[in-house]
Amino acid sequence: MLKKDLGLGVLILVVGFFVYMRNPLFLSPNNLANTANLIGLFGLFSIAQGFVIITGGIELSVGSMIALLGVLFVDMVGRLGVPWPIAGGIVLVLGLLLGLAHALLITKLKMQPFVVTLCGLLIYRGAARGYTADATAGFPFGSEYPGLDFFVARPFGIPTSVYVLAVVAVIAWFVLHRSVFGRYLYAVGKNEEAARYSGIRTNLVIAAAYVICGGLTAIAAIFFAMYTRSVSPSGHANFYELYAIAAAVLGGFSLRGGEGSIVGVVLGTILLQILQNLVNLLGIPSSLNFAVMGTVILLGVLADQQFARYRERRRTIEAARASPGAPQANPAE
Amino acid sequence: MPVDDPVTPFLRLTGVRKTYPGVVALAGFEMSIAPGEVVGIVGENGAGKSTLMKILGGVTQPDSGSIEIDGETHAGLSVASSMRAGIAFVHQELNLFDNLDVAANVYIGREPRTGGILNLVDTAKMRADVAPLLKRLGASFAPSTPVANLSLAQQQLVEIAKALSVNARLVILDEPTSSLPAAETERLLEVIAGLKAEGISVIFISHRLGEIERACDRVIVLRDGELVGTLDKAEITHDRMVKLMIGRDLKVAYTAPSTARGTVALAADRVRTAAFPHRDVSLDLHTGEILGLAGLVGSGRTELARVLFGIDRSFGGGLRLNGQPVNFRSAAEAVSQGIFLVPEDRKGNGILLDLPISENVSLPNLPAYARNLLVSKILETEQAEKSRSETGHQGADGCDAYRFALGRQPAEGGAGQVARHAAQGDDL
Repeated sequence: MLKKDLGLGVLILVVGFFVYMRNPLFLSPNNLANTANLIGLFGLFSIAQGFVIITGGIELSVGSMIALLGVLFVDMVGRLGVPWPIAGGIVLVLGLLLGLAHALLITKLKMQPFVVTLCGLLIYRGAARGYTADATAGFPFGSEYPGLDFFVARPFGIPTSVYVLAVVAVIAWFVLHRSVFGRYLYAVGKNEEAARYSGIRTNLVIAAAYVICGGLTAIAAIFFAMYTRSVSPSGHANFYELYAIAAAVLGGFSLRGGEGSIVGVVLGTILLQILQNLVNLLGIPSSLNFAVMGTVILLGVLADQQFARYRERRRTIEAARASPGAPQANPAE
Repeated sequence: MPVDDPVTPFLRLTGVRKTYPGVVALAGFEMSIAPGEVVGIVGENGAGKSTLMKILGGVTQPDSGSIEIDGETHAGLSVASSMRAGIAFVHQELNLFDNLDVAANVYIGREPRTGGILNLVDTAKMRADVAPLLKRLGASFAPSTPVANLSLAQQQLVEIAKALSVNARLVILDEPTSSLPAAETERLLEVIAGLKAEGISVIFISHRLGEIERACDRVIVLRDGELVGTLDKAEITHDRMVKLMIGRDLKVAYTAPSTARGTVALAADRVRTAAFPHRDVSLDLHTGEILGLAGLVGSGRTELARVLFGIDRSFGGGLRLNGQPVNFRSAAEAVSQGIFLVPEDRKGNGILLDLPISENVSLPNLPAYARNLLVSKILETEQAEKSRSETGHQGADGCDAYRFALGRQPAEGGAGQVARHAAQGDDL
C-alpha cells in the first residue's frame, strides 16, 4: 500500500516537472493556487467516494447531487434570502438524507449500489433542472454576503478548500485506518458474509459509508457553488462522480472492495488535477481533455496490475525455491 | 438417547429438527457434551453435519427441539448468543480477511479499543495478545503479517488462534485437517489435547477417521439427518465408524481393471509447475484407464491438473495427446481435445449455481447443442437427462454439486479426463 502511494507520488512529481519544463507558468503562484483549489474541491468528494468503494459499492450520483444541492444553496441564499449558514446546514442535512436513502435501498431492500445511484444520478440532475426550469441559478448582481467569501478566500495565499480538505483527509485517515469502524469497512468490503458471521453489523457499516459520502458531497457542493458563483443545472458538475472513481482507482482502490487508502485517493485527485492543468498549459485542445485523462488512468492501472502480477509470480517461485520438497509455502517472517 | 453424565453437560441438544424444502436435514437430533470432552462427529456428505454446525453457530434456527447451555434452555441461538456462550468455530472454508493482518483477523468484530470516543483500534494491545496464542500453536509468523502472505496451513492456524482468543468453552473444528499437511495435523492434535486439559470441550468433524480415532473421547455418527450411533472411547475403530456411517459393512468391492490397457492417450513429459518449478512430473494415461494422483495438500496435484487442462502454462516439459505434442494455451483448447476437469472447488469453479442443470451440462461444449447458431433447449435437456441416468443423480438438493460437474464430461466422449479429488470427502 505504502509502496503504491510512493509510486504515485513520484509520478506526480515527474508529470509536474515535465509540465514545468514545457511551461514555467505551472509554478506561478496563481496557477498553483487555482490547481490547489480544484484539488481541494475534488478531493472532498473523492474521499467520500472512497468510503463507498471500500465497501465494494459505488456512488454514481455525486455529480448530480452537487448540481442539485448547489442550485438549492444558491437559490436559498440569493433569491429567498435565507442566511447562508442556515442554507448551508439545510444542504448538509439534505446530503446526509440522500446518502441515507441510498443506504436504505441498498442494505434493506438489497438493491445493487450501481442501480440505486445510477437512478440517483438521473433523478437529482432532473430535479435540479426542473427546479430552475433549466435556468441558471445565481446571486443577484451586486449583492454581497458577509462571511460567504470564506469559501473562496485564500488565507496565506492558500485556498480555504485546501485547508478543509486537509482537515477532512486527516479525520478520514483516522477513521479509515485507525478506528474500529474503518476496520469494519475493510472487512465488509472484502467478505461481507464472513464479516456478518464475525458479529459485525454489516448493514450499519455499509449504510454509514453512504451517509458519510452524502455529507462530504454536500460540503463539496457548497464549495463548488461558491467557486462558480452561479449554477447552471444542466452542466454543473457533470461526470464528477467519474473523476472521484478515477482518483480512487488511481490511488489503489479495488472496485471489488476491501482495498484502498486515504493517501492514495488524495494523491489520485492531485494527479488528475495536474493532468487537467497540463492540458491547459501545454496548449492541448481542451476537447481532448477526457482522452488524455482516460489514457493516463488506463496506463497507470495497467502498469500497477502488471507489476503486482509480476511480484506475485516472483514470490511463488522464490517460495518454492526456498523450500524444495516442503509441502507448504515458506513462512513469511 | 439421553446421556446421563455424572458431570453437568456444557451443551445438550434435545429433539433438534431442521427441514429445508424437500430435505430433512436433521430429524430429532440428540447429543450432549461435557466440559473437557472431545466429541467426534462423522457422517457422509449430506448426513446433516453442516446443518448441525449452523444451528450451534446461530446462523440458522431449528424448527423444533431445544438447545441447553449450562442448564439454560434456548429454542435457538443467534450468532451473538452462540459467541456469548463460548462456542467458537474453526471453519472448513476459511473465513479470513486477506486484506488485514493476522492480529486484526483474530480480533475481528471485538477489537480492543482505545482513544475514548474516537473508538480507535488498539493495535499494539491486539498484537501483544495474539503473539502468545500463535506461540501456543507453534506458528512461525508474527501477528502483524498480512494474511494474504500466509499459506493455507498457516491461515488455518489463524482460525484456530481466533477460537482460542475468545476463551471458548466449546471449540468446533469443522474438517480442520482436510487442508493441513501431516506435521501441522500432528500439532493440531496436540492443540486439541491441550484444550481438553484446560476443560474446554471440542467437537471435531473430520473425514480422516484415523485422526478421530486418536483424538476423540466419543464419536457420534450421523446418517441422513439421524443419529445412528454413539461410540465410546474403547469402541472407536475405523471399521465400526464406517459401518455406522454407511449402514452396512463396507465390502471392498475391488474388481481388477480389464487387463488390456489401451494406447497412451495423454502423456506428460517432465512437466514442471508453479508449485515446484524445479521438480518435474511425468505420467502416462492410457485410454480407458483411471489414474489416481495421490499426495498431500500443497504437493502440487492441483497445479499439475491445471497445467494438464491448459489453465496454467507449465514451467517446462511438454504434453502429448495420442502421441502428438500439444501445447494448450487455454482450457478451451483442452476441452476441444476432449479433456475435462472436475475442479476441486465445485461451487467456485465447476458449476454456475444460478443456471439450470441442463445449461450447466452443455456449457463446455455449447456449439454441439446449437442449431443454426441458436442454442437448442431440446438437445440440452436430452443430454442432461442422459447424464442424470448415467450418474444416478436424483434431485437438485445441492448436496452433490459434484455430480453435475461430472455430468458435463460424457457429453463429448472425452479421450481423457483429469478428475481431481474425485473421492474428496469420502476417504473410506
